[in-house]
Amino acid sequence: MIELALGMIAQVLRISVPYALAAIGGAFSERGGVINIALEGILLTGAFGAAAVTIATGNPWLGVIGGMLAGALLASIHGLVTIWGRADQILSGLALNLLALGATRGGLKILYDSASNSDRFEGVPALGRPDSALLSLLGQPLFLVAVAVTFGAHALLFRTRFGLALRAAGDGPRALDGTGLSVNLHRFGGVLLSGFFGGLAGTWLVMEQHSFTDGMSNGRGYIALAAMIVGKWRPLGAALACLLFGAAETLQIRVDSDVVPTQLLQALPYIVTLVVLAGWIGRAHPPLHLGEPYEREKGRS
Amino acid sequence: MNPAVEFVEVTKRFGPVTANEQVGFAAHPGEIHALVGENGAGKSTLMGILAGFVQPDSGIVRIDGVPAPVGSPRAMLGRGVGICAQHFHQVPTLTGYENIVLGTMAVGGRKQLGALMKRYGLDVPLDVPVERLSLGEQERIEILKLLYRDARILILDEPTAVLAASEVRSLFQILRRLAEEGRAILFVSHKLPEVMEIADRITVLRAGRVVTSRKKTEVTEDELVRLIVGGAPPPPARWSARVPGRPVLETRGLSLGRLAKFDVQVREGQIVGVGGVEGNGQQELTHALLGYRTPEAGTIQYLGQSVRPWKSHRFRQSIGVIPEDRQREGLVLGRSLVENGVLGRHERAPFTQGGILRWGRMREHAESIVDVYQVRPDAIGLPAVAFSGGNQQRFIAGRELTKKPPFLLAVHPTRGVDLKATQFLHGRLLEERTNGAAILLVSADLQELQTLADRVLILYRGQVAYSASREEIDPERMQRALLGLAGTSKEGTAKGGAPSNGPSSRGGGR
Ligand SMILES: Nc1ncnc2c1ncn2[C@@H]1O[C@H](COP(=O)(O)OP(=O)(O)O)[C@@H](O)[C@H]1O
Repeated sequence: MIELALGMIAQVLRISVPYALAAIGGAFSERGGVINIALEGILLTGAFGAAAVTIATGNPWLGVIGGMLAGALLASIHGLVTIWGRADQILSGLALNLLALGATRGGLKILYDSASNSDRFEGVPALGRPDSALLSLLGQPLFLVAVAVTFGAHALLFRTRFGLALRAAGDGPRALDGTGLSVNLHRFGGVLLSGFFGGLAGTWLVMEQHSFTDGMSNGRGYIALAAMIVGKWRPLGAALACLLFGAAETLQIRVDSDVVPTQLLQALPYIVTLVVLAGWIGRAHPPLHLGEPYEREKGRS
Repeated sequence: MNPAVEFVEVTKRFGPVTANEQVGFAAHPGEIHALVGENGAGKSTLMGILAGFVQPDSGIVRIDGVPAPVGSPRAMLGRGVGICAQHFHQVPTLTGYENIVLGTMAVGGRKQLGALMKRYGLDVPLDVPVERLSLGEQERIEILKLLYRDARILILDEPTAVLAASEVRSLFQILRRLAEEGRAILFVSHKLPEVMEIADRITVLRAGRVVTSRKKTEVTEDELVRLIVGGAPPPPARWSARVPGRPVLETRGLSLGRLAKFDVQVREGQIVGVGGVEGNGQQELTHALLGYRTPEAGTIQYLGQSVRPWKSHRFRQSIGVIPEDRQREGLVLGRSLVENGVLGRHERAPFTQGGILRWGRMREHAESIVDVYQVRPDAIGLPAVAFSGGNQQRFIAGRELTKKPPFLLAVHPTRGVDLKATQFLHGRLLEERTNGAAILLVSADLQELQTLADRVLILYRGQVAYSASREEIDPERMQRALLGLAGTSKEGTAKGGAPSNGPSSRGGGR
């Protein structure tokens, strides 16, 4: 019985990790004022990058770095286009999601001559080989990294000068500009971080599965955005929301569902998000200047 | 000694509009230098150039005799320039402390701030998000921010527009001290008595050009007015006695937030003025009247009928409103004057027929407002955002008054508006009064209340601390009531007291 419960907990955590990493990434982008629905594509690109580098070098740690860089690459395109190019942030995100889907598909074809999946590979080796599901999760270096990232990200956003300036870029860009700091560079920094975190999320997925499959992000980027909103654009809040979503997903997998229709559980993240957005569980305030490119001379007096 | 700031032939255009044309003048260390001019004269643009937010098309800005790189707030900050803008450059969600140290190495910041606050008597809470502070407090944060960065050239763009008289006093004391320490202060204002009081030197801008730049002692207030408007000033609006008609709007025991049991009655052909320091219940009053928030208690009667919360929409449509925040509540900034001209009336004849908009009628309507209310530039196709504050206000007033509403709510109708527009708007309000409109005027400007109102109520902490008809106004007591110095009025705090149709108000308007 205890074993079953611990197994459940482990599964919830496993499922939640990629959501949480991506949601934290989203928070960094949006706190700076840039809407990032490209998160879905970033996840996918990150997963592909991690798989390709791991297979090519045989070193999963290089794969982790590759995954993060791949995510950051896509994010930096989003940043350049929306921050300096002043393109519509939603449209850029949509375009990049489609681009990521097409590019990874092409990559599969070229590298592995397959329409559906890459070669198999070993993920990051676990520390020790405990037989309990929970202990084995705790022994996974990537899991420890993810936990560290979660707390580290929260501290970065709320306890450092960079974090303060990033929040100012989203809530009062003109004030930030007036202090002599660059609004655009800080925003780009936020978007870039979302690329690293999103890429890491994709890396997690592919390392769990030991191979890349076409379209494997499977909407997780969007769910992560929902979690970010539920978590009120705070890294720890977003991570907690992801645990909730992860629990719902675990139930949906485990509970033989004559009682609760699985569709309902699948929809749960979105229902919770709507409830939060509507202000029924404390109001969630998006960053005040979310979605607006910054133009110095536009703001009148 | 080099001037602290020197503008040399600075020109800035926004598309077809020339905001600054060959501007040249100098401000010296230790000097309070006032910059005056009508709305749209180019003052804010010039200060934006000095702060680095606006890139001039040509010209040089010298700081301490050395040309400064223009178009970079960072560079200007490095040269010691600090701006306290009309709409403060603050991050509303951050605390005062965070706003102040933003972009600096905040080592020992608190101690230094504590010392500054003490030295200049700038008391203000530092650990509350600034969005929860009053405008006066926000301004103090801005000034602290400038001092914390040790700005030697301080730009204050209409710092007194949001302040009560007492706050203006203490601000001026601080400014004097800062000047005595050798800083140069550039002070933008529409209020000429203030300018005459505080400035050492005055520069007048008209239509983007410098008209004159001279010592205060070399100019009188009357001359200044002529220089600003470029000729004889319009005559001030004249109030004349009129017998008020039947009651139009009446509140009884209206309570919301800090507003407590507010009673007022406004009759046809009567202007009732509500004054007080910002944040003493004025906003609650207007929000309750407009139905933005549901009152906790009390009733609103309009033309003998009770205005229920669910009917406030209809009520709002039938009255005229000059709102507090013209950019947020009064206009849709991105849309043209044609569309803004029918805001709130677009579903009515003659602008709609069978659910279809009649653009011809809408254009004619906008044309006529622009014409009668002298909105400049007179281009109805431009988006509202392209107009200066004074012109936006003229347009809103025009839109609301052409409705010929039985009741008009005017909230700070001339805030940040230049002399000519102010007098024009005052004239229009009085004309509507003559035509029988009932007007509730909320204003922080005592002068304005005394010019226009038949009766004045002063709010303090949500209660009426002073109430007098025009003839009975005792300026000193009104001032004291404003500051909450008790025992100021025979009617005292009119708690549940006589509505303004009490004995003393009958004298009002006679
Ligand atoms: N960002 C802007 N875009 C377009 N026009 C502007 C902008 N800023 C100012 N203007 C125009 O420049 C002129 C000067 O405006 P401003 O400097 O705000 O005057 P003031 O501060 O004296 O009221 C006005 O006609 C105004 O409409």
